[in-house]
Amino acid sequence: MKNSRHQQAIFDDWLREHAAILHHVANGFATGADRHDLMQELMLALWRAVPAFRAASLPSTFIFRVTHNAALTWKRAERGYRRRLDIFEQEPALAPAAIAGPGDETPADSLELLYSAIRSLEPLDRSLVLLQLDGVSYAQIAEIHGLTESNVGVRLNRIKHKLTAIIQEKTS
Amino acid sequence: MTFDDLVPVWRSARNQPDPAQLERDKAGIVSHLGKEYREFLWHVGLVVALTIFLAGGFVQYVRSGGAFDWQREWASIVFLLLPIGVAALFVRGFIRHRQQHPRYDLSILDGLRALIDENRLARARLRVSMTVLTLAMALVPVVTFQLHLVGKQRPHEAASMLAVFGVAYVVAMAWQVWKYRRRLLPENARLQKLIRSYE
Repeated sequence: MKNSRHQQAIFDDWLREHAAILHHVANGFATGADRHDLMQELMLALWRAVPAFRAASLPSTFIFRVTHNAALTWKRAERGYRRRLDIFEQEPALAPAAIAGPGDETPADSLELLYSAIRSLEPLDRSLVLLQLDGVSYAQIAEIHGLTESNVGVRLNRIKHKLTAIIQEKTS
Repeated sequence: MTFDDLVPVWRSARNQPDPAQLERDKAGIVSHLGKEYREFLWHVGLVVALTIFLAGGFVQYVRSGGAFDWQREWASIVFLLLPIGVAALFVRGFIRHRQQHPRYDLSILDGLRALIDENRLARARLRVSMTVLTLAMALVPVVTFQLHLVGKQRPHEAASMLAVFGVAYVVAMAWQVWKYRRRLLPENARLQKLIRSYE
């Protein structure tokens, strides 16, 4: 009982301070009703990971690892009707004509454009760029993913070029 | 427009979670965990009830001075030992898996390797389970024949036993084949693809 209360307290603290991490990961990996499913999955993963947390690493590094791991291995629920509904609802928003031209975007449009471009990347690339956007250093990204620092640098450089190309294609 | 032009938008207030939605998500988690706990209790209860039922039957049989002829009733013993053998194999597989991946939580890559091994282990478990189920099913006619010979089972009881075991075998095999082909194999392909992206 005492352990459970302790786990609850840590979980609440983490959510209060780092909810943005979960929000960014959920939006970077899913849209529509899937986004809600993934958010729940991320929260569950975090709740279950609390007992494994050792103060050897920063809570933020631990949360990044747990949430990105959960997102990478997350499997979308097979709900045909809901999936078709989501696609239908998103179609007008994703059509190039619906996206304003350069300089015309409101922040909401620009943000959705950025998320949409990130979601079109391969899962590992998505995770790397989300980490960088959240201000995680190359050394920390390397630690979280089990890659070398130089490898992270090379990959992120390539991903940025890819994202610029996708963004330009979407806004042209 | 380049990627760098959009970076400031990332840090805008719009890219923060909605506190009300967060509370609703938290409530959803609480309800999910409650449901999970009730399911766990139900499974434990079922296993305990079955064990008590079987053990009670065995005790009653021994108390009533029930005789057992090892020479003529060996098939029943083999039939009962099969699940114990399977359980021992599963435990050994699990221990080996834990020994091979002691620090699966070091990085996402380590976690992925452990997940792939877990998937391999789950497929191996299903193959063992399907083989043993088939062996057990082949043994059922021998068990009923032996029980009939020693006068412990009447023909209509043997027929019921064969029918129940037959249906259970078909259902269990269908479920396991479905799980192997539709869940574990696609999951393995997905994880393998993901780990290849690290190379």
